[in-house]
Amino acid sequence: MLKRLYAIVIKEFRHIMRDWQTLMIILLMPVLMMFLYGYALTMDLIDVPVIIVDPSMSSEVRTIVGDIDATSLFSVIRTERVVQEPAELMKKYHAKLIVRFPSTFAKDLRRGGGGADIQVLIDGSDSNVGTILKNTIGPLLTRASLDLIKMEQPKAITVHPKVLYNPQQKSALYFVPGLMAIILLMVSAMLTSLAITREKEIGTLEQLLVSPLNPAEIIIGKILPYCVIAAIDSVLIMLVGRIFFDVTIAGNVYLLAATTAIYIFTSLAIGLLISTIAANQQQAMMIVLPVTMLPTVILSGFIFPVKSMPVFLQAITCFIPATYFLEIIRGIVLKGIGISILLKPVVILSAIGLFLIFVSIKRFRVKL
Amino acid sequence: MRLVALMIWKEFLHLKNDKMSIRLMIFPVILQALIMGYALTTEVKHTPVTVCDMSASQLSRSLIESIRSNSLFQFQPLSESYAEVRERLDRGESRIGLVIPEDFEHSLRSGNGADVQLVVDGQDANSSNVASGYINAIITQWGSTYLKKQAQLQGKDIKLLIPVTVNPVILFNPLLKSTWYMVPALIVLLITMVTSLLSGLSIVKEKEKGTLEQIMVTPVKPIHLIAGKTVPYLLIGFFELTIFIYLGVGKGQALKN
Amino acid sequence: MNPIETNALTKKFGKYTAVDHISVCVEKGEIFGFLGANGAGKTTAIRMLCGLLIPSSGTGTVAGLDIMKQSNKIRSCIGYMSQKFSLYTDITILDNLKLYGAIYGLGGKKLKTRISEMAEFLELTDLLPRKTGDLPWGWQQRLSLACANLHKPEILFLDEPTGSVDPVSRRIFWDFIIELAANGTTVFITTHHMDEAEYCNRISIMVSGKIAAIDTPRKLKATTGSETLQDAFIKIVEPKN
Repeated sequence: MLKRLYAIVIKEFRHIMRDWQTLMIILLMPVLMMFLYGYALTMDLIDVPVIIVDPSMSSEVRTIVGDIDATSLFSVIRTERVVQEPAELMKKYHAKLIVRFPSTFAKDLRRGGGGADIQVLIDGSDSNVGTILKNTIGPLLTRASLDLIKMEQPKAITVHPKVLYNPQQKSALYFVPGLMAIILLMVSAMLTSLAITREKEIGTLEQLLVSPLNPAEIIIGKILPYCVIAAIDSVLIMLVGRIFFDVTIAGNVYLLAATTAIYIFTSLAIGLLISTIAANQQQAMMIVLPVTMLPTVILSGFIFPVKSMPVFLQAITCFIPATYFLEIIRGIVLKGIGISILLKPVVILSAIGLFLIFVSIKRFRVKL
Repeated sequence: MRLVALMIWKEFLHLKNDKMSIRLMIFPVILQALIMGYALTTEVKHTPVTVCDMSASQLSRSLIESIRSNSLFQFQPLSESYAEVRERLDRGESRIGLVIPEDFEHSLRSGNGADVQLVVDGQDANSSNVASGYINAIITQWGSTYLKKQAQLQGKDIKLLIPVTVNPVILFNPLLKSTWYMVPALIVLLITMVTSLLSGLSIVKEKEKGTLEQIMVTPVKPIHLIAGKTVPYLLIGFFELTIFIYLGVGKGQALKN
Repeated sequence: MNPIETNALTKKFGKYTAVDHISVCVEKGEIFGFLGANGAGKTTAIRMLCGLLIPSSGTGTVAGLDIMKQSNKIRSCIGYMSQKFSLYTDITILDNLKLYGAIYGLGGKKLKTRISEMAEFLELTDLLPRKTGDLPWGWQQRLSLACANLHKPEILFLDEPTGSVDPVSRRIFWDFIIELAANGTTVFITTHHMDEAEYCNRISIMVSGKIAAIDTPRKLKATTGSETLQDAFIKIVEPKN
């Protein structure tokens, strides 16, 4: 049996090697995506454009404006004396913030007793940005104003923040493990399902089925090369992450390797299941991309926080293997936690994988 | 022109006979856009937070209550120590931890101001920034309420202590609902994917089956075939876009009301 | 102008020469048998004549049109049937006929008439509403022939039309081809069935890219001293025997 298995595995490798264009894409794409996500996708807010509206043009206001501009967060791009349509102004200059001082600001501030009211108009289209800006500009203006009149701001509580796991707040550190999950799913599920449905379409699968090979051997033969490719991809991703983005693994490398293997196995099972459902490659693609990949990218916690989703969507995330894998891989790479804490997601991930393989093999015998 | 029409007719013939593909092209996409566009958000909600209250005083309990009652946070059981806070964060049970020191009430009442420690899970820079921003805002709010009360008790006007007020107004998305930002983006994503995929795959299928050769021997030119392969999927894309916009606008109206 | 003429037509794939300086001349209304062993270069030659491949060197004309410069115009004048089935298996027989008829410019009543004519001659009438992929091979090949001939082309290129086809279908095929030739259509056909080759006016035999012999069946048998065309073929293809 081993001889036959060996023969079919070699055949699969030859298929793949001959199609070197696809091979290049599979191996280079992860690297490309990493650069894309790592460099282009920063949510960091820097130099947010601010417009000042100051009828009085007083030196006091100018000082405060200087304080605003001095932060890395804000960048003052214009100063107007009067504004009729703030929304239009914002749109015209692509500003995110308009700070409007009353004409009597300096006087009111020095006199005390109220009246020094600053209005801030915030672009709320991106709600997260809007929220951060709203929470930042208030205290900034207050402090700047009080500094001006040399008043001590009465202290209530001072908060000392300590950021864990990603002290430098690098987005790359968060994305790289996530990308791993996405790319491995793509390679394992998509390529496997395409390979099998292609043979179904062309008709060569029939020839294999009448041979002494049993379905398990055919399946394993088909899967093994993509297993190897996925493994190479995962190493490649971690290497690029290390070299270009300073992604270091806080936890145990062997645990990482083992859990990655489990995830690859589960993704392959998904690809297999899809190949028993799809009659041709077009269908396989339509199942893989919008039905498998997209929900994984969106619902697994890769970009959007799961906790923010409505309950029924959170329930769906429980069925997505990448959700558990992301928990595991982020835990190991970023938090440095070990198997004791990660046992639950590892077990669930393995269970899903085994279940899918079981169903696929059963369907394989019947459907073809 | 006639040949283009013919190629388009041919493509629809194929689609007519492949009901499964049509179903796959339309329903999962619309369903997803609906679910995700409507429900998905980058807003940071229900952040699990745990507090370690070493002061156990009236003031600290009041502060904790202001956090507990805020729906932005999911209040986890209190931690006994800093170590426990760390553990909860490691486990992923909490994303933020607040440590209130023993001398909290004393420091506040003496007028020197109190210090608290915030421990933040910084994996996702974006949501941790937003979440710590929220909790900072809550703490600051509590702080100024406390100061106001103190000022009142002493007969002073708070406006004398803090003579400036900042009034924020949110434009374009007053409720700061990320749905309005997301849905258009999602629509673009889905439609790009579906249309480019389908037309590409259709051509590859003909190549692989060998039917392309037969077409190439006829007066049909490449441009005719390509038109035939893109127009039907263009129409499907338009159809899906219309549904999205109809639902999106409809939902938007509902949100306004 | 002869329907098909080539002069030292050559096709190289890298170092490998598939078609080596062949020169043929096919007359109008002729049934020309283009024979050769597997891999001799027949399909490559046909593809060059149909405009599917660009020759490496040499010249050729089909229906008086240059195969390199005017291949677009050639396409409207010829009908082609490939070795593998190249029609759409997921649509009905009628749909395939409608499609190819329309591609070649037939429409409306004329198309309907032609379709029913072809269907009748090739005994496909009852099968018109059936899905193409469901039908047995012989019937599928008949469909290919019908589609190639709807627009009454001057020249028909048939690449092993009767490979693996049942004897009944084969007879129908050849009745059809002979009738077409009698009416002036030039038929350029490849086959491995030697009994069919007897029906051809002339035969050429390709060996390793070159044309080793080109003559009427009778003369070929005479010059090689063979009783059957099969023997003649083998002697020409493997002269060392």
